[in-house]
Amino acid sequence: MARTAMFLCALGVALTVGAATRAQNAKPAANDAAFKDKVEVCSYCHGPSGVSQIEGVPNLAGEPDLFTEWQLVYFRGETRKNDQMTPAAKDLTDMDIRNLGAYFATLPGAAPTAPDSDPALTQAGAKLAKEGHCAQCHSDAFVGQGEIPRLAGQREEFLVKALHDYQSGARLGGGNVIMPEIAYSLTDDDIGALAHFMSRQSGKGARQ
Amino acid sequence: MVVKLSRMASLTLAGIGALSIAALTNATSVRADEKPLGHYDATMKDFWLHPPRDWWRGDETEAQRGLVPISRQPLPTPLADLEKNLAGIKLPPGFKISVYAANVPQAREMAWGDNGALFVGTWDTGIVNAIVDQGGKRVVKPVIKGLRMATGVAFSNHKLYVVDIDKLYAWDDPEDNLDGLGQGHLVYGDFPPYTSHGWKYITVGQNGELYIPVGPPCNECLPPSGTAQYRRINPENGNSELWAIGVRNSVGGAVDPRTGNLWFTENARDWLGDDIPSDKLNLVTKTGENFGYPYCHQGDILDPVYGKGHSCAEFSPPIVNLGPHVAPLGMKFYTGNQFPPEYSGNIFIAEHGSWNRHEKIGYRVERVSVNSDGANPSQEVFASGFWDGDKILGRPSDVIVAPDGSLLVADDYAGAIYQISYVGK
Repeated sequence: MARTAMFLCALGVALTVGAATRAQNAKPAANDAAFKDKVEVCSYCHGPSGVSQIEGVPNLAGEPDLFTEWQLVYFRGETRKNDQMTPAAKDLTDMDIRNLGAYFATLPGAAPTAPDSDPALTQAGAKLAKEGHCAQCHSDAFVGQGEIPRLAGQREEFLVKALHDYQSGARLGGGNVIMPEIAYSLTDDDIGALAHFMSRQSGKGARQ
Repeated sequence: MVVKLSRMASLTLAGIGALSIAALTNATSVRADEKPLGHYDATMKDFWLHPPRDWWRGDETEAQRGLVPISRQPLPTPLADLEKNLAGIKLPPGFKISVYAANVPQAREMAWGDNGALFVGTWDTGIVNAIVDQGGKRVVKPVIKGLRMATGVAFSNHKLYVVDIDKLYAWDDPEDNLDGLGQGHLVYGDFPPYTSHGWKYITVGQNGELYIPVGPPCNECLPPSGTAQYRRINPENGNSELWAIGVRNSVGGAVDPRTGNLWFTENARDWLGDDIPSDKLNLVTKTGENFGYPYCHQGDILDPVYGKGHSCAEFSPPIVNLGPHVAPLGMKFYTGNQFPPEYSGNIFIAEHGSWNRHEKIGYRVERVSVNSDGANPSQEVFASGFWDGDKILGRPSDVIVAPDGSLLVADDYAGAIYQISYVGK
């Protein structure tokens, strides 16, 4: 897959952006302090490296660019409602959203460090993930692709919330409605197991 | 074989009620106490709100792992980039393509108003946009908001019609109120409410009747009654008739100006392979005609599961097989005067482009020439290059003839409308 190297000078680091299926022509803001400020706003809750230390707040590091962009578009348009994110996304421009998507895609995704508190639950989650064909879209290592999110290493309680939100209809899955239909028939135990399993994944071994 | 049978049974809506069978690809992992994957009882209301969660899948093979619907672009492609992209689009000699309007997010079906507004549906933002001329400049205005999937729009008898999964709405004289269209009135509300293949297209007949498809909530299954069909709706009184059956997922149609008959595009099933089955262009010549789904694909392939005991001869064959997974969506007959005379009465088809195939195909506008009875069909590529071999530049979702005889193409990936004109040699 073609990968496009882009540079965000203001951040002082070279960032490689996986951009296989997105518009190739979008350019990140060439400077700029303004973009750095926006990233800083995100980092208050989502962590300075896109890895959240706050319960209920998801990691953004390593999320595919299109996924982050879609969520910001949904928040901005109030398709997805959230007390913190609705105001945070309200005034973002299209270019801000493109840049934020590209930025978080370059940060290394979180991986579990503590020992597994419940290996049996991990196993139960692995089985459900296999039965549910999660990897068909989320990729073999659950790092996501395109508009489909990375699940590996995501905060467990956030994954529980996300699946419940899909189940209740509080969160829509976009036009293909795959997630609401999948979540609809899951029990609370299933959701707990899947969330635990995904939170334990390192994201390594992704098949390209 | 056990695997095959359990899949088949779980996707079969048998008249005996709910089938609780875990549809796993690996039968060895089935346990008696396992929760069933799907609940397939179409007699229950729940089914119609929440179709089986594996609705879009099939018996995908190892080689097909990782094939997923194309990720959509969250934001429209900026104008400057659109112009660069169009430089690579290939057209027959004498034609040119330009940007008619940028920043038309998720552009789907298009319809002309009485006074020159172009109404454009969207995929899942719940918005209908109108593209209007304001002081010589084209402006994109969201005129309807708050729907679910306002993919299909049509204009007839001074009314704007919008189909939103299970509901068909109308607005009277919408161009008089483009700053606030308000609530439309419900014309018809008896489509299934599920979203799976619930996105629709409206074809206006010669007497103002509306032809609307109803997709099945699955990739391949015995469709629940009331789905996998075309209905003809009288918008004056909301009455509907069954117009065609055995139709999988149709998101495009047009009425033949020569006869008044309905032609429609149809997306064939997934997961049978990269090269089969072909998507189709069909012609309805009699009410209730059966086009073969789920038994027969592309007119000559019996489905490996549902085809048993059937013959393709039972069903109406396609007039044209458009190619595997090309995803034909919106179509129109060319009724303008701008293109060379040989284009008169030809059909243009927007091909959204493939996902269930390793090498991409489609991503183009196709031209079909055919007699009104379906005889002597021929097809050729008209506008190609929206897949440039490396990346997706756009996905054509609909076409419409403009008053000046040019052809407009909606692109729901780049979020734009293009204009193809004939400028001569």
